[in-house]
Amino acid sequence: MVNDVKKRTKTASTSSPTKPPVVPLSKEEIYNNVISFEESEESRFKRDHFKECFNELNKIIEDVKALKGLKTDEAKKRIAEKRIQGSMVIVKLKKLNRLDKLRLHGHRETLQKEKLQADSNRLKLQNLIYEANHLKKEINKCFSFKSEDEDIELVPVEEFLEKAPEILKGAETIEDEHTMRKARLQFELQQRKEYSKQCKDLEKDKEDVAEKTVEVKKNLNSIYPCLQEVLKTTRPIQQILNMPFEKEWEIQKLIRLLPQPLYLAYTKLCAYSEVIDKRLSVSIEGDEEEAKIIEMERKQMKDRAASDVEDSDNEVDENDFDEGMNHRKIKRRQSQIENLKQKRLDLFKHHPLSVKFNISMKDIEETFSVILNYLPALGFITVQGKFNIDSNGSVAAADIITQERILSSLYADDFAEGSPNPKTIFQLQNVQLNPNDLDKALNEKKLGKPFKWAQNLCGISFTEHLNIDQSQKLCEETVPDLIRQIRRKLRARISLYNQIKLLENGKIKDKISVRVSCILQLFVSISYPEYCVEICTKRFVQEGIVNPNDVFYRAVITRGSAKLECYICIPSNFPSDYPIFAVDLSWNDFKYNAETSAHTREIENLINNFEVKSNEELLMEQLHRTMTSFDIFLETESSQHENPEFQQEKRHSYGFQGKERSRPYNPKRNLTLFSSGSYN
Amino acid sequence: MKENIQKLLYTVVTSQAISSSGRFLYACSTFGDIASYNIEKITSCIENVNNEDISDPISVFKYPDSPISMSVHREFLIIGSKNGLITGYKTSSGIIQHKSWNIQLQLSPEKIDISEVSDLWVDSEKELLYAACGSDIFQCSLDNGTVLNKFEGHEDFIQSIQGCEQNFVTASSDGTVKLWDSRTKKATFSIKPSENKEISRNQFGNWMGSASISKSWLSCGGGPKLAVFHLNQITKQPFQVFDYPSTIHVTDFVDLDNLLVAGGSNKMIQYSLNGNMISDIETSGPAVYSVVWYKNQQYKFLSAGGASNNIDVSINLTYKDATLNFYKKT
Repeated sequence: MVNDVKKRTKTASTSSPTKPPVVPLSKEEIYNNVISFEESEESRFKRDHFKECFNELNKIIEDVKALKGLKTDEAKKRIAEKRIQGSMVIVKLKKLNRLDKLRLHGHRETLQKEKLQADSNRLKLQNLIYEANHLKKEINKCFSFKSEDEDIELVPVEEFLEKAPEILKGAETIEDEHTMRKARLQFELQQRKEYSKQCKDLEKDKEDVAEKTVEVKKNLNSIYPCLQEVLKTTRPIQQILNMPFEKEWEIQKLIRLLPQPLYLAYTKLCAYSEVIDKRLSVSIEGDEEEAKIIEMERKQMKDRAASDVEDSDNEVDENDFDEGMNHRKIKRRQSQIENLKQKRLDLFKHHPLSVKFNISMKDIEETFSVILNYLPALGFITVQGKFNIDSNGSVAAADIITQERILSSLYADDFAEGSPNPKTIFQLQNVQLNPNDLDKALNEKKLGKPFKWAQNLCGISFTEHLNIDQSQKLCEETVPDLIRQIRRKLRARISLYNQIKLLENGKIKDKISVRVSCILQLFVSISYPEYCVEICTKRFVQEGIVNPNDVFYRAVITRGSAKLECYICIPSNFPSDYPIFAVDLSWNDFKYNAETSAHTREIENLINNFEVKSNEELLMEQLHRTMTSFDIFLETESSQHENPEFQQEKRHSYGFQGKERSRPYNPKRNLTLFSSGSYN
Repeated sequence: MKENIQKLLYTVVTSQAISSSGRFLYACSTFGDIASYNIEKITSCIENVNNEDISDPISVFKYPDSPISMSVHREFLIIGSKNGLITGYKTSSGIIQHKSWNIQLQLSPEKIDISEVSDLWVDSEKELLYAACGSDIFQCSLDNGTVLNKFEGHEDFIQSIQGCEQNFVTASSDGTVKLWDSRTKKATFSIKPSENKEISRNQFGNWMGSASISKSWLSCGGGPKLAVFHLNQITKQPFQVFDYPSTIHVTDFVDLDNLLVAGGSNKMIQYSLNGNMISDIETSGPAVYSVVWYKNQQYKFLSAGGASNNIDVSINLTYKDATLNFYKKT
């Protein structure tokens, strides 16, 4: 290897002196040559050359070291020689170093070049990717493109093929979907143009007609004052002929404003009063204007029904939005309370019009009126009654004829407790009201009570869905019986009222034939709890024969040292059920009632179960019967004693009869002779 | 008042009878119904503490008039009612089937007001029926339905009649108790307890509500106190007097010599003849008008009816075991 380097150095050194003589060269050329030469040299350069050089140099240094130890001339010579060799190696090293630098420089340059190249390629690549994406997007756009024609409703293909002109439906149109569509669109356009033309024509016609109408109306309006004038002049004639046309027209107008249930009730009641019952009068009460407004609203509501749905959707959204904000929450709560109040009001709102019917009776001055209110939100009818009777005079009797007592229990178990409508409970819960508060709420509004019969009267049923015909039928079926029932109850109650009024003042109607020796000391009304406390009433309370809806009285009858206390229950459905007496007899320090004495039991049975021909003065008769029975008991009882307290004042056939030793309580036909016998 | 409620509250059971087989009880009410009950079933249910509902009647028969007194002979239920009419109804397994015969008693016109057949006694050995109607006693043949004899002597209507062998005893509203011999057709003994200061009770009156005899004893009571007389050496002095607190409608000798008494209170008491109280049953109603009892090898049965819809039943004769309903609760 050393040899190789030598050779190269030789050639390098030899070639440079040989060239100048051939071509005289300029400085630049020389420089260029040198550079190109060095480049060629450089291409042959290997890193090992450095190593070889160093090894050679090291060897020379070692040799010199060894030679120096010899200290001979020979050695000196050789050292000199070696020094030359060493210098040569150093020169060589220098050369190599230069070459190395050169090579490094060259490589750096190429690296730079390559880097630039790479950068530009990269740029190109990115451009391409971007372009590709863009194209993809464009493609997608194209794919998702919607033509406006898709929204257009076209005539169906069959119809198109049938009606379209021949030009539009060539053979190819039918085959190709796209052309087909184009053809159909074309056809559609034609048709629509035609239609719009027609529309315009019609609108023009309409305007013409409207103009004419306005003109006619003007004419009519000018006639109206004349007509009114005519009407005014006819009024005296109407009065003379007793034909109140105008009033009827007014009523007709009102009737149209009634809600359906009230309308039904009104018409049927009217019909009934006209044909059958002249003492029944029917009228409409309430605010006509308000009713008109409601009627208008109702019509509008119908029109707006569809748009309302959307509105409600929006509301929900708003609510959701509100929830985030705290201060809004408070506001919202307040508004909720307001809302609730409003909802409650709406729920209990009644229709401004109500139907009222008056019932009057033969021989009786007092009239009773019933007002039917309709609560559209709750969907039922409430009833108020009004009695124009002067009940101030009597405390005890007034209970009998309160409007509630007359209206309630007209039919079995109809006390109007709770709503007849099963939905009501949930409606009330919705506005956070207790279902038990219904009564209170209705009372507050002075609406009366929702009796079941009132629903029937207005053709409302909650058990089954009725169409209008069925409602009418229900209403028709209810009216006659209802009026009869009310009348029957009224009559009985008024009679009862008069009786109690008398009794309260201690007056009892004396039958001429039978003298009553005992005295009615007291007749007062008592409450249900007061009634229940007594021992003799226990059986009635336990058996559920009396209930808190009934009216209760206490009557005290005395004769000498004996006292008879009667606890009287007037059932809520009087006169269907008769008054029930519970008696308590005290005499000679003994107290007898139906549970402790068979005799008292017998008397009680007689009073509670004796047959009467009519309901007139029933209570009076019962009490009279009680008093005669009491007399007879005392008289027969004391007839057994040595020193009778009571003298026999009534004639009886036999004192006692049968195993149970019945007393002769039953008056015989001529009413002066008493006998025992069967209870009936 | 509704009829069913009236019945529940005011029913009076006036008379009862036990079928000759001892298996069925008949009871009649003032509403004209006759209810029958199965005694065997009732006693077995009480003994076995069975929860089966036995309180309602097995059948209810509607009598056309008001039944006042009842008795039985063979398969016939004999019913005494108003106007001296006695009817015999054929029964089968406790169910009244049809009217079989009737006897119309001939009443004198002046006694027409008190014409109801108030009590009956059947002498089954001789097949004779003794009916107390008004103030007279009629002896009828059960063989052919003819009236054989008429026993007169009381001044007011007779409350009870009861007999033993050839004797029978009657208690009347006139305040007397008479002992009759069916052979002589005359009262062999008559007593008016209200005249005896030891027995009389002024506050209740003089009337005699009930009298009964056994082989050697006679008991009677009503307004006056319950008193027992010895039959063998009969005097007007009572052998024993008992302090029953109220009026007396029923006396009877139960189970040999126990004296049962009931009446115008809710107490039904049994005394031994020496005056000791044996049992005191509280009845459902305020008065008892009828007590019947029966005894055979299998069971004993006693029932009391009166001013109540309930009939009280005892199967050991000393305390109340069950109550029966005359009318069902609805």
